[in-house]
Amino acid sequence: MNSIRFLFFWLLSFQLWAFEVPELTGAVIDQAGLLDSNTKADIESLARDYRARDIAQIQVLTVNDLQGEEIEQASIQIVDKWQLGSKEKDNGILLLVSLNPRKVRIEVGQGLEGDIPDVVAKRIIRDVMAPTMKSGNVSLGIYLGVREIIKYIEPDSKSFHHKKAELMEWFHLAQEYSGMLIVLFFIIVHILTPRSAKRKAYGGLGGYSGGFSSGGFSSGSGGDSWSGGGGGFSGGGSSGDW
Amino acid sequence: MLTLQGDYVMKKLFLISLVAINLVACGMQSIPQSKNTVEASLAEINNQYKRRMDLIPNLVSTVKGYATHEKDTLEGVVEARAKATQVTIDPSNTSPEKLAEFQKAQGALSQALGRLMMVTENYPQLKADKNFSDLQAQLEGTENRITIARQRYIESIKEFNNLVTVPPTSWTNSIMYHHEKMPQWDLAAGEKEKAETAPEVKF
Repeated sequence: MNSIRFLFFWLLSFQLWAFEVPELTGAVIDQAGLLDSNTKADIESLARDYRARDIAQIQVLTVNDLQGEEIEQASIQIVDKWQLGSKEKDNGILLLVSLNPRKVRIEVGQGLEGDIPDVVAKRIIRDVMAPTMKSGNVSLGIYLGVREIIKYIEPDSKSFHHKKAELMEWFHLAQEYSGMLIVLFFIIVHILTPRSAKRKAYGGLGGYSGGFSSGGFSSGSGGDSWSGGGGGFSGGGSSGDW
Repeated sequence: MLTLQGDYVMKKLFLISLVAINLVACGMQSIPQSKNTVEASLAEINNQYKRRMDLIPNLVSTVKGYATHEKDTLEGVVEARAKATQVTIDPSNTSPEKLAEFQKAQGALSQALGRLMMVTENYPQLKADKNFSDLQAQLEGTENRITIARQRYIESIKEFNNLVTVPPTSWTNSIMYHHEKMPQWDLAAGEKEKAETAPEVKF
């Protein structure tokens, strides 16, 4: 089985991009009708929450078939088109379930490969999702998969120091930028003011204080819009049967 | 009267030169950027192949523990890996010949690995081994990354070639950069042969 896959991978690298990617209309797209409505809503609200906090853009897609492609090929074409995750963090995740053939894949964005290495993705599929889905609880299996993914990316599980380091980074950036912006401000004012006003203007600028706030998180905020943020993928993750 | 006409001609010349500059500027950024993307894509391929090489020693020793009679197959992998480490490429300075050599060495390693994985099918205890299944996951992930890196490399060459051969960016290229079209990365004839005679798995 695996040697065939090796050959497939090797030869497939010369195949054309051919998969027709559906429209990105929401965090959960259930073309194969595998999810019951409560589960769908639960996953959607989880996905929105994690997106709003810019931890990850979790996407679930179920399809009836893979249009004749290997699931890995379909998956990378989907994420390349949707560009899940933010550009800065590359924190997209796609949970792709196909009905025919019965395959599932977790495609992990580059920025999350540390939290969800291939081995972890394989375990989530093999140990959590597949057994549940095989026994008939497909909707539940998918939901449990999402919950497992969340376990690994949840920042609370990271050390306090890691979080602190992140905060310090932001402060430093803010300091850097504020210095630059003040200088720029002065230059612009200098250029724009007519000679006569310059002396007066400089007098009034003395009271400037504080830095500009750092350019916050450009996350997919609340509301109904759901779209990719330019995140990158390099093929990490794992696939399995169910 | 003469002055007015002169102004009109000047304006026209000015506009034409603006358009010309615009067209030439077209590609000024994108051509070198595209070239950089090609290089970066090749570096990525290199990275992923190296990642695969790093997994192999562990894989070989794990399999050895269970598949004691598969000495030949295991040695095949070790040898192929050793050969592959000797054929390196420098993404910023490479040629189609060097690439072909590199690809040949990696292809041979792929074949040896394929044979090994096929052999492991006969050892259920090995397959149940946690270490082995972890390695398998990593290997599959790496093979996928290699495939994707290669596809992206091919795409990047196509992009670059488009910029260099299709107007108006091709004009900028003839004026400023004089880049040649890059050869597309294709299955070498030798590889095609090997692919056709590769071991088959029968159930």
